[in-house]
Amino acid sequence: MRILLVEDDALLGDAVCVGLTQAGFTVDWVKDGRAALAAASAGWHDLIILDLGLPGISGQQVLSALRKEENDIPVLILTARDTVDQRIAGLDAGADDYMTKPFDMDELSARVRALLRRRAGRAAPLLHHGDIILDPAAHVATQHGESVNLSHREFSMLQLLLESAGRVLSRQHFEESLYGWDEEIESNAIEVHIHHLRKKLGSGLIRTVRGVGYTIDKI
Amino acid sequence: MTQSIRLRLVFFIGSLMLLAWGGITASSIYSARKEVRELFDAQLAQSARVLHALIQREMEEALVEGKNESVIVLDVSAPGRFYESKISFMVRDKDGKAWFMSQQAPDLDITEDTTGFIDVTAVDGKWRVFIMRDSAIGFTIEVAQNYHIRKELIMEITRQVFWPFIIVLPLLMLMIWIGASRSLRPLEAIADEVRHRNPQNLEQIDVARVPAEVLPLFVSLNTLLSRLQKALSNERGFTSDAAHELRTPLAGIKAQAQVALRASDEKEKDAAIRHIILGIDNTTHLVRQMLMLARLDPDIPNRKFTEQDLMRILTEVAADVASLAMEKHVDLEVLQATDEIKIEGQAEALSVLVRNLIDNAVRYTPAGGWVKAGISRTPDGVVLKIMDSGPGIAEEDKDRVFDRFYRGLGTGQTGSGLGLSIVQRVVDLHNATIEFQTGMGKGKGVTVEVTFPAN
Repeated sequence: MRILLVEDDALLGDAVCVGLTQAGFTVDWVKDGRAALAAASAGWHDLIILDLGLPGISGQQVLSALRKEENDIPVLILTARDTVDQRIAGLDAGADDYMTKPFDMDELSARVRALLRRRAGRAAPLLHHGDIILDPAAHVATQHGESVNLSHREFSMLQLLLESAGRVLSRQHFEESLYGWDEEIESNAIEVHIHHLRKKLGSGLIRTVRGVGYTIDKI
Repeated sequence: MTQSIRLRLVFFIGSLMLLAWGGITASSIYSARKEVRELFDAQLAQSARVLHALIQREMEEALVEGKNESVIVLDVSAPGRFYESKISFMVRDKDGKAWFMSQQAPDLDITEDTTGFIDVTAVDGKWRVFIMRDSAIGFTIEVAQNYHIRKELIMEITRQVFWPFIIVLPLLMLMIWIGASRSLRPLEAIADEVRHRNPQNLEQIDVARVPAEVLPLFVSLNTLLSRLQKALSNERGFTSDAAHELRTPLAGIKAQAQVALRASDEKEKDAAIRHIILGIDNTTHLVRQMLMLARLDPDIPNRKFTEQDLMRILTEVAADVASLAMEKHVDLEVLQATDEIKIEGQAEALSVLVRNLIDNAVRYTPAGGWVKAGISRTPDGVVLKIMDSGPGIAEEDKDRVFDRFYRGLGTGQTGSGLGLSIVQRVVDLHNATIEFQTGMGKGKGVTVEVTFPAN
């Protein structure tokens, strides 16, 4: 799951970046409104964490611009302003959630997960597929009730496949979702992750659609 | 005398009325006396002539022909008009023998050759006497009237003038008192409204019903109120801004701490902890700057200005900032003035001003650049000039550089955003002016000029 963080404060931005990465997300961090709009219009991200007090174009303006473009990406507002009026203004401008500084990293992760879950069209926190159960919050996968040891990226790939079960996901889609801008991607990285997933969960689960990508059948 | 408008009004108008009344009374008495004298004197003379006409024949018979020798006493005291009884008369011959006399005629000692009006004092008071001589027949008519009749009349006239005043004066005072109280009632209403206000309510006082005489007072008060309100809202704005500005670094520190707790390796943990320390340093700096800004509040009066050697302050500050400049590979140079340059000011505030400007210049100038600072005397005053070879100020930021907590876009600097607000306050405090010029050669660099007024 790839998240766009828009925050001008160096320390806070760094902490959210590292914290969300620890929670298993891929994070791209921009520091002003203009860069945020440019990044968001590329459509690589699943969610935006947006600071309102940005230099140049304010967070509020970024949000309005996004919604005007009919970009329905979930937006979580992060701000120092905490009056009810300001929260209402933020939500009415098209935000999906609102957090005031200072906040708890775990709560931020949880809210991000909840927004992504909703976006994927499900309410239950756990992903079920046959005998496989995925808990995105705890970052734990089990098969036949036994824990399966997956890396961050393997877990994220499995989550992507399960959330879009029945649909074929391209290699490019995986690359965009799992890697940030500054990360080097080995040419065969996705194949390697698929290989590891098949080894850990059985080869029948993930199907290869030649020339297109990978899919998990809907049950 | 108390400051009460009502009492003053009553006092002044009362005194004036008393004075006017005194004057009117005195002049009434004076003219009454005059008129009464004229009137009664005329009456006396008239009586004498009438009497003369009546008795001329009789006297001629008695004195020339010697027919009658007896004294005739006429009783004229019969009650008639009030004033009538007070007139008496006596007719004598050349030897002083009385021929005709009224019953109450006083025994007046009159010298032989007087005629006309004279005043004579007898046992029963002062008399006004008219003497008429008939030299042909040789007798004298004396008509006399006691003065107390005149006094009585004058007193009566005076009383007529006096009484209305005695009654009207207190009434008038009462009406003035009531009228003044009525005019002052709006003031009491305002006092009541202001008394019951809560301290936050600095709204203007409604002057619609205020009497014109005290309007200037309320206008001044309203001006003060609006200034207070501005100061207060400034203060509130600052407190609110400050509280919000603190949230972001605090959020950073908290998030970094949580990152450190969850770090999977030592390296990640150490980085997070170093970030926490950096965050605390930044926050401390921010708090220090906020306190500085609050302390430099231009509304705090009684600031003591003393003579300050601006060159010495500049040199000291430059020495402090030098280490940062060296670290950043920025060449910091102070152009020494040839003579001492002194201005009136506050040492700490001036030092803060110079520090903020030089610190800014060094921070925003990339490695390999330079910062130059110097002081010169010009016809306008003493000018502190700081130049740098940095990227300059973006057009869109120019108007906002003095805003609290405003930071330029993409500067990569982690300042409090308060530096130039503080500079502005110090500039205001010293009645100085500040000017930013950007675009020194190839559109780069900033030149700041602070001009202190000449002593």
